[in-house]
Amino acid sequence: MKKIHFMNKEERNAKVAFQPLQVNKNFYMGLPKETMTFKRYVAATEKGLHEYLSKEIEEDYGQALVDGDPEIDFDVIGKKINSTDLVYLNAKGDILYAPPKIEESIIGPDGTEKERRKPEDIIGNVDDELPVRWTDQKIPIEDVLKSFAFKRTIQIMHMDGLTYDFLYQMAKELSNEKSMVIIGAGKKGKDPLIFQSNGSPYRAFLEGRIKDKKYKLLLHLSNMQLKKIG
Amino acid sequence: MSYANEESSFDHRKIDRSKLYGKKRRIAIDQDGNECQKASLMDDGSLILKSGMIAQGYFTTNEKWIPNKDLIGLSPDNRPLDLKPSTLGVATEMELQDQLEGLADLSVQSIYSLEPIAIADKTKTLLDAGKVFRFGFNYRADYNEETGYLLKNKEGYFALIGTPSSSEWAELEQIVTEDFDDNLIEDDDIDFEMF
Repeated sequence: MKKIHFMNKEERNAKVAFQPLQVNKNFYMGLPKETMTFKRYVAATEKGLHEYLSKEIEEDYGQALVDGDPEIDFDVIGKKINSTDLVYLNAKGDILYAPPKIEESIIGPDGTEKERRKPEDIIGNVDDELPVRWTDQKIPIEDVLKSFAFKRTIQIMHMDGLTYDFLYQMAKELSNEKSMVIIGAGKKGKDPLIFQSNGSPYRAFLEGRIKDKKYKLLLHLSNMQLKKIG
Repeated sequence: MSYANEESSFDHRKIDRSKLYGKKRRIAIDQDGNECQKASLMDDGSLILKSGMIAQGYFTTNEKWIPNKDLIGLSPDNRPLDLKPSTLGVATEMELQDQLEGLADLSVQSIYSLEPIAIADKTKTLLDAGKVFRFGFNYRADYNEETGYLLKNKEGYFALIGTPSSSEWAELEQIVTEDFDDNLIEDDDIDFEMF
């Protein structure tokens, strides 16, 4: 369970817990009465790739494949791959022993690169000194659901009796008003929520449901409006 | 789509965030100013794995590889499931939704912008009035029919496709404990802000 620093409309703040919603997966691929495991394995060595073989064998390439198995290294093929480390290769295919320079490429909606620039690191802002805030923007649930696509939803939960009261009151108000409230980050609550360093920024909509003394507080995260591509 | 024995049909176009707003991508540059390739170093250091050198698949407990085409869909209690046909090009029954909780709880996997080819009067009237329909959706034949919602906003008609998710009721006595599992890891690149 992770934590989020939350402020209500009375500007009272507390750290509370959150968890992602469980997706109801109702099938898996396999064989009846067989326990299957999913594995990654070595399928080719560098000398078994088309790029190498076509240069090495040249015009006899096709016949060489018919006559033998030049693409298979029997000592290595099929070897199970456990964990791996990321490495970078230069344009010649050699491994880099010093960190590469990192650039940020801005790609427009048409798929073309618009700009290259030095990347800026963005820090997460939900478990920060500054709480994420209940803003004064409430929107009817129906309008939110028909205007935004949710990338993910997290459930906000209490960690003790005091935070139960804190969250239950929010859920009750939102449930009674059939609205969602926009939750924002930063001093004025105008910034999008960022859950981890260099993570995606999200607009957040808080929905509340109650049943007797039980509640659900769902924070719907969106990075896209429902609109047509121009 | 079919509602109250009247059929409607739509052209569909998949939309995503990068098509609307563009995106950002981080690129590694080598000492000569060229873009680097990513590769994987095996944990025993024996091999550098480049693109095209890795495969993956399902194996039995005695290490027999099972091709994907031989796998079938199984329920969580291991019962074989029937293959569900594609719903594209077939009139699919829609249900009018009185409550929108199902839409709010949908874990959305794809979004389609729809252009009506022929839309039944009753369906159009209900969508114009802000109503939402639910339907079963399968892009291609497989073992899992997804859930779709058809709606209209001021931009046009949209279908949201995904899998229902579930949440739990929180009550006073049930207090969560903190652990340090990283359960909200993102793997997507940073992209433009929406507004």
